Amino acid sequence: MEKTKRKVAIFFILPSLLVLLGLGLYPLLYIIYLSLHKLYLMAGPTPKFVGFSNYYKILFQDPQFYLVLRNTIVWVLGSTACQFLVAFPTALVLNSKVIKLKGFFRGIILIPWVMPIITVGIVWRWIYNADWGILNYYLFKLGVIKSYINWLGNQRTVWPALLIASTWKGFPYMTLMFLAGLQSIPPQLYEAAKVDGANNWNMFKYITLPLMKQVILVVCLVASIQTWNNFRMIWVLTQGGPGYTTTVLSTYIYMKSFSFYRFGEGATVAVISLIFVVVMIMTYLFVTKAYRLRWR
Amino acid sequence: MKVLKAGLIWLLLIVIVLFCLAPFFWILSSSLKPTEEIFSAVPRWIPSKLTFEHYAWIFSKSRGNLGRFLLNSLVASSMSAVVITFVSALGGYSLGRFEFPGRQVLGVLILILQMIQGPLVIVFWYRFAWKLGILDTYIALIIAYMAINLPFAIWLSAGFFSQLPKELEDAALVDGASYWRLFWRIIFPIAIPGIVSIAVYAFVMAWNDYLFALILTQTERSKTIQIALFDLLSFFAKSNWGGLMAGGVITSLPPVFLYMYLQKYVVSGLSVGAVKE
Amino acid sequence: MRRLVIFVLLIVVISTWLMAKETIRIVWPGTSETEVAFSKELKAAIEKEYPDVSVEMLYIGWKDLEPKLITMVMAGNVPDLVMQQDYLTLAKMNALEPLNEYLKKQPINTVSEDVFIESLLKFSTYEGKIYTLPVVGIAYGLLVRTDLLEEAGYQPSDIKTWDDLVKIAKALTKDKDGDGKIDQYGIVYAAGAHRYAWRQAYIMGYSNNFSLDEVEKKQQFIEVLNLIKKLQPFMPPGFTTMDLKEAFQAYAMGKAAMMITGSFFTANVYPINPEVIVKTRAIPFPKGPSAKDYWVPVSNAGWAMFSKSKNKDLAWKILTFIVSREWGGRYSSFINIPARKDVSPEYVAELASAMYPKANAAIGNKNIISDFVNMASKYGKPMKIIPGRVEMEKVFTTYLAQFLQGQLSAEETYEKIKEGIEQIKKEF
Repeated sequence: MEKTKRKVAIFFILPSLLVLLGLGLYPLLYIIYLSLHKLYLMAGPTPKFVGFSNYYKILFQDPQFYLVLRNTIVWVLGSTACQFLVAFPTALVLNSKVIKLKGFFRGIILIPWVMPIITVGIVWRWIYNADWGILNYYLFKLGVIKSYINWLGNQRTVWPALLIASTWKGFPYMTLMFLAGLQSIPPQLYEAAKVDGANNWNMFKYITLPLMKQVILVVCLVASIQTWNNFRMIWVLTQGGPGYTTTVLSTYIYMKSFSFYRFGEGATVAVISLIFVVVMIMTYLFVTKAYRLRWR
Repeated sequence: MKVLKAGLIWLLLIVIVLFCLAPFFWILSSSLKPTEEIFSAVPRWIPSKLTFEHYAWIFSKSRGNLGRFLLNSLVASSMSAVVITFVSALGGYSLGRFEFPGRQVLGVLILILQMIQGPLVIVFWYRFAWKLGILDTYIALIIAYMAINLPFAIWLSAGFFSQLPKELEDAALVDGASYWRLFWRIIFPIAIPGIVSIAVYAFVMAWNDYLFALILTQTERSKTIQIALFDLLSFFAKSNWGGLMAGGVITSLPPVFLYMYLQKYVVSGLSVGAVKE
Repeated sequence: MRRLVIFVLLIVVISTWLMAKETIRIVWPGTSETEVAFSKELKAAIEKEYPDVSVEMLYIGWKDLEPKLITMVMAGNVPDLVMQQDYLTLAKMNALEPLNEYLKKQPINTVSEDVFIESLLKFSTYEGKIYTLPVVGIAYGLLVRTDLLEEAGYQPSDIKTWDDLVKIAKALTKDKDGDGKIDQYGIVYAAGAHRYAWRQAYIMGYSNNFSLDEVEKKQQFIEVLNLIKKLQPFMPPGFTTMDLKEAFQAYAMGKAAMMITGSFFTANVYPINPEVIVKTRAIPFPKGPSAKDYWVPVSNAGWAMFSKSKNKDLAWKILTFIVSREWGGRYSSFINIPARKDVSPEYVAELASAMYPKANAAIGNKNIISDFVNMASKYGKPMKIIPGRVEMEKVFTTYLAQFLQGQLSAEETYEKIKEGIEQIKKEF
């Protein structure tokens, strides 16, 4: 029986594997190859083998690297946490019996997620503008601030500002997933619990949360990795500035490759970034025991 | 007491909706303003006079031609969503419900293969599409979207499948059914809420994509709306701000309508009592 | 019978092959409505002039031009012609064909070396090789609101030195509606995006008679930093995060009375607020303390040929057609200043007037264009082509940000920028 199960498992996952290996293996090898070479377009179009010297340069001689790394970790953790804090209650609300026109509201929630990134950049820069921005205008009018704040230019406000914009853009995805998770919980469980006299809080704690655990863990993991890789959101808002204050690994890689034309170094940062993520994923899986199947 | 609770829930919903919609409303209002009014020092939410010229411009075939780009985006996004949904359902079922050796390693490998699909590999993708003669076609986009979205779709799918009760397979297996039939007849329908979400997820990720659309498309044969909108910003001529705003509004809508429409299919199989406790 | 069939087939094949048109692939970076419309006219004209040629236009937006071009070149799918401003990257990749020989031996379509404005052609030349033929020139200077200047009792010609600039910027910074908040600032400097922050500082550097990458010129460099610092109180506080589009917004909305930018001014400001155009004039950036002469930086957008183009002679013909007096002249009416000596600014402004119908902006544009043309012909000096410039931009803006926030002194900022730039220069 076990052997059949194993064969089935492999059979079901094979199509995915073939596609991904076919389209992903070569690029992966190419990036590793590039990281061992110097490819600086300003010095000519051919790569030159340099062994691990790119790695040495980045890890030990680059004054910005550790700042960028720290930024990335803070950005990813903060982003995921904030998105979760907004998405989970939203999903609960949208699943609540109290709300009418559920389909409509659920659709509306998607809007931040699907707004084209260029418009997102324009609008949020307009909101955060230090001289005529909407946020400043209303906060000033309401007397909350004495003078306009340079949200995206001040080192103390730029990360919170980015986090808010990122939460706004990203939480619908989580809401969508959590909603699906909630909808997969058989209502009979709640009905049975009610008959036994359970109140809402207990039902939440003993039915909803445990059954949602798997979904929550996976959704947060996927969100984290997406945030880790997503460079366009930060790029349209601050381009990693001021200076390198809001530079994260993904923007750093883009900048090194397409602004500075140093593809070899860009690839090196990409490989280092990859290793980091793998380590983080494995730690995450181990700590949360997400790899265990629920019913064990 | 119940009324109070309901009221609170509604209030929370309104707050969330306002948070979501405020920026959108700004774009909507800007798209209905005459161009010179779009940028004003004092924020104005209601246009002084309703102007529809930007919408007329953007839909006109000889100017904005948004209709064509919308079509391209719709085709590329929905086709890739369909493929990804089915492939990831199979893969997620395997990853999420079977403990086979190497399961964790495989899971991580799948994620790694996704992570390298970024700006650095666009030369690979361009060459790949060019040599196969599929540059500027839907096929190229669909293949690319599979490569970048399938891994996450599999993981999400695994999450949903692992949530379902263990007993689901036992019942059918006793009857002697094969896993294949079991999957399509029983598991899949029960997991519909999750699967629909993944379809929407794949659709939106493709819809939002900028990088691959930039590299793999060239003309209106396959150019998506994201690129078309970006093209409205110019440095060597007048930027079309009004068109950008109108385009931004229109572009946000199809996925929203799609999700609203798909809601009616999202009734949990479990809630229909498919499995007797 | 069989032989007849083969014969006929042969005739058909050969004649199809003979009639087959050559394709020329042109990368056209203008994706706005006007640029696309123009490109279609140009294509029709090319195909009329050269009936054996079929033109394929590849539209790529200016912002995405570089990543996509680099990708195409690295993948091996090379087109024939492209319009470029920053051509150095492709040149360094050996992707562009030097045009010196072509200019000497095949001057056609009214194109020859002496027909281009010297300073502009010089910009297209790197290490002796001419890589692009200019189609429009870009001149940079100071744009000022004549009406706001007049209010404070000044004329644009009063701004001759840096001290004048600071004095007048101060006079133009006011609280106009008496609510305690300053709503008009003297000047705006977009210090947010590194490309434009560098370029505007570069303009200041030129006005102080040195190129910003010449970091060994300590005194002149520090003078530039100090100028920015002196102007800081008279700039909208958000200037540290502004990119160029937002600086245009600030100027167009009347938040700033002056701005440092180039001859692409009108096209960028008109959609935001057309009324400002006729109230604007352009002057050379005032002279710095270490300057002997006015240096007005100029650059260009020009057409280049790919070195791996499949039919270079044909590509050359089409290239010259595009930058010919007729077509190059017409294109330069969209924006910036003509690159050819035989295209008059009046002609160009006349053509442009159809694009700027509101609020007398056509007249305003005419004045601005002639201001720039005069500046460029009297004092125009090509911007230096600097390898590694983008990295230098980032170094500059990183320390400039700290300097403006008061974390570093001018001297310290200079030292750090110098270190960073010298590091980059070591590669070359």
